[in-house]
Amino acid sequence: MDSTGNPVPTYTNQDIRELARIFTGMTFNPQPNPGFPHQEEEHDEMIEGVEGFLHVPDHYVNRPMYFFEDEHDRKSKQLLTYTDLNGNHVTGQIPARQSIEEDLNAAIDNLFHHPNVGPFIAYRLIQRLVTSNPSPDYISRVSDVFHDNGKGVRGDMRAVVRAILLDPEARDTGATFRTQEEYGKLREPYVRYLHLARALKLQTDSGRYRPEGWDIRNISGQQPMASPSVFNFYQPDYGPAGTIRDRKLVAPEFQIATASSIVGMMNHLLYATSEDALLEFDRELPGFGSEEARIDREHFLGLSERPQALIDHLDLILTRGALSDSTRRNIQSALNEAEGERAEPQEILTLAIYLFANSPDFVVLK
Amino acid sequence: MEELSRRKFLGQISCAGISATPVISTLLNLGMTNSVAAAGPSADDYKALVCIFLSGGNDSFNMLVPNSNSEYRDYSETRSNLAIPRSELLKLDGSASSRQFGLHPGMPELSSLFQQGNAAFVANVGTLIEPTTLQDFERQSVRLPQGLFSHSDQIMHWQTGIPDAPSATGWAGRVSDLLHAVNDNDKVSMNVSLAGTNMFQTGRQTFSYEISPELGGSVTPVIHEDEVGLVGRIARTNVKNMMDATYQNLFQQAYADSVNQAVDAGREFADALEPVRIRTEFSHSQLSEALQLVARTIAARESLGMKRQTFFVLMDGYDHHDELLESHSEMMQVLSRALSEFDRAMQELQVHDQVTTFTSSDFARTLTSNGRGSDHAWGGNQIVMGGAVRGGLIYGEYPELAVGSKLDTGRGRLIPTLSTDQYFAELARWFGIDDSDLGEIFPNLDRFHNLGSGAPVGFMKA
Repeated sequence: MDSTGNPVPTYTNQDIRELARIFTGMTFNPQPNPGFPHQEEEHDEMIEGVEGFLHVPDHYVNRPMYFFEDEHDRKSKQLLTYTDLNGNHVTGQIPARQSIEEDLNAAIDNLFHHPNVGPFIAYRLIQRLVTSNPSPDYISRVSDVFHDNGKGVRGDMRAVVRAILLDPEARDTGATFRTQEEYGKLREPYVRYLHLARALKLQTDSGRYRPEGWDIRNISGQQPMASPSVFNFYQPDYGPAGTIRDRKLVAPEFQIATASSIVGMMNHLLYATSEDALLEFDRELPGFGSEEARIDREHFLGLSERPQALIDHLDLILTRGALSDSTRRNIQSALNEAEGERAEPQEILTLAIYLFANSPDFVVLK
Repeated sequence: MEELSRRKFLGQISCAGISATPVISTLLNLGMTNSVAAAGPSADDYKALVCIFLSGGNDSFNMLVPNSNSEYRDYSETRSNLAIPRSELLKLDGSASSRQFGLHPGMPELSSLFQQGNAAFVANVGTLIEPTTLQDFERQSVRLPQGLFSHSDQIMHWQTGIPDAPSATGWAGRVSDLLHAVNDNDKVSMNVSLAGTNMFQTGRQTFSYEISPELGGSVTPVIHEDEVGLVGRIARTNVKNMMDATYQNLFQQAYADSVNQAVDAGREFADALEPVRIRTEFSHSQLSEALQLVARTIAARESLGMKRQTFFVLMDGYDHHDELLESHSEMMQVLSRALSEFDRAMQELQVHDQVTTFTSSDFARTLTSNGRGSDHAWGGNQIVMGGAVRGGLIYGEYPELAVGSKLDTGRGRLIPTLSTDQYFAELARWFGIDDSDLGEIFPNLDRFHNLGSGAPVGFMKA
């Protein structure tokens, strides 16, 4: 920021244009993924079709791009000019007549060494993994590790993630951070869903599963690699109206916690926990058909006769042992009521999981 | 605007003394001073924009066809086996133009709407960053929209109104960031989608509320239904208790509040629509059913406390690489019928002047045939409909369709002669966006239109 506190731009439109020239001559990889008959068919059609490369099926995005050197802009390019954190002056000049791969590597290096990258990545990753509003010191500690993992290596992501997760601001279970009302983050629907899938020990007849996620996509708009733009499903500076926005805090994930997605998730969870169809499959996958992944009920049923033990166990695997007293009382009273109505152990288990999955204790990470 | 906020963001976190202060939207500030939020609309003030997205790329040069002798000859020669016989075209009389046009034979209802002055066409509109000639295109001396001829990119640009950069917001979203404060409802969004979440209605502060004909409207909690089983019935009370509890943590409290609001919104929406009866009959196509639900929602506007609403409706299947004539013909019929049903419903509800329906589509299609169909192109023709539309006219410049015309980039992929910015700005302006805010919503508009000089195209009444 400048002396008056206004953000200083780090790149211009001209920089974007120059960077775009690096990518000339690259295009998607038209090879179908092996074992996907639908994609092979689409591939054959595409090769036959006059549209050729204008038609880009979605699934090609997960394969490395093809390079067409003839189509590459081989003139010199001017990328970002700056002084890096080691005091080296970076000219950003990319010489002419380089191959696409040489240009690409040079461009990645140019961006990678920019002093903005460490804080940028630290802030985004902390927001995703720990808390929406990290302290400046926390960001600074993590971006220091991005710059130097302790052995002089910049960009060691293993070290960065370790620094994020082992930071006092992430680990301290005492009064310092976790009891602060501004600490924590809303977890996004897909992450919550996968947490349930893993914690509830999904079982399939084949012993394998490949979540397609269509139901979740329809409800929450989220599916892996299906973000509507390069800006992710929500914006990092979004804060919902009310206390959070009033205090100039952010809670990005609230942007997709819309009225329709919240109720949609509540309904889907009821279906998923009662019918056991917690995840569906990619039906394209040969030999899998429409197999469903079920909660391993045997694993939990024994606990259903002891509601207290069931709650303790679900607290451990779903709410990190941090279930609030009021939520515990609510779930306890629900299970008592179910017992009073002579509910089956299956129903008690479903009820307990459903209430946990909807509780603010599960939905919010803090 | 996008550039600005991206720079702001990057600048912000590059700073050592970082704080988590969110970027305050300039749009919101502007909105408080300029657009209708400041003055507040009068009690009977209601306006809705209904976007029908013809997904896949409508072959709109077979929807609106030139019909003078020489122009039809060009059309027929260029389109070869895709050309519609001249005798089958529905003549568009009174188009107040020296040129003659014909409509796709499957659209008699739209033809009537046009003759009655309730519908108009906007010709050869498409994504542009700056005015572009064929020479500019060939020399690449102007900036061109990213991902020309690609579905995903062009669909995105038609929804964001920003074809030169990725955008995190859509143009209706940015419009609603400015206008949502006029609505007396903080639970149900003014942006109602019948096609799931979409970029069009995503703003910085606003999002879409999704409804569907399959659900009969809004999403309501299954646990609130009478016939739900034991688990659902017990969960109903206890979910409510959890959401009514007080949480010290702001995120937990905000989530609990959001759940209560979402549940209320679903119920409020369902309750508002429940008593609505519309006499106008709708067909059973997906499009007609979606528009029927839009009509019912508009009918419930007062109980919902809405003065401004946008609707997003999708009609899929326009990617006619083959079987163009048959399949496209059926879809034109479905579209025409649905439009006229919706128009009648708006008359019945007495909001005909207050609801404007418009089409969008990825692109038009190549004028030349690939043998069985047509491929991805660029500029195309769109429909606008409603009592506030100066109907019975064709706006913009309907292009010459001869191969090798001054707009032909090859195979009849025509350079648009009107930018989507001009098209959308005309709609946004009618909707209540102040001239001084248009540039914020459509950052490239000033390259095509002198901001403040009045209507960008002229198809909307005052």
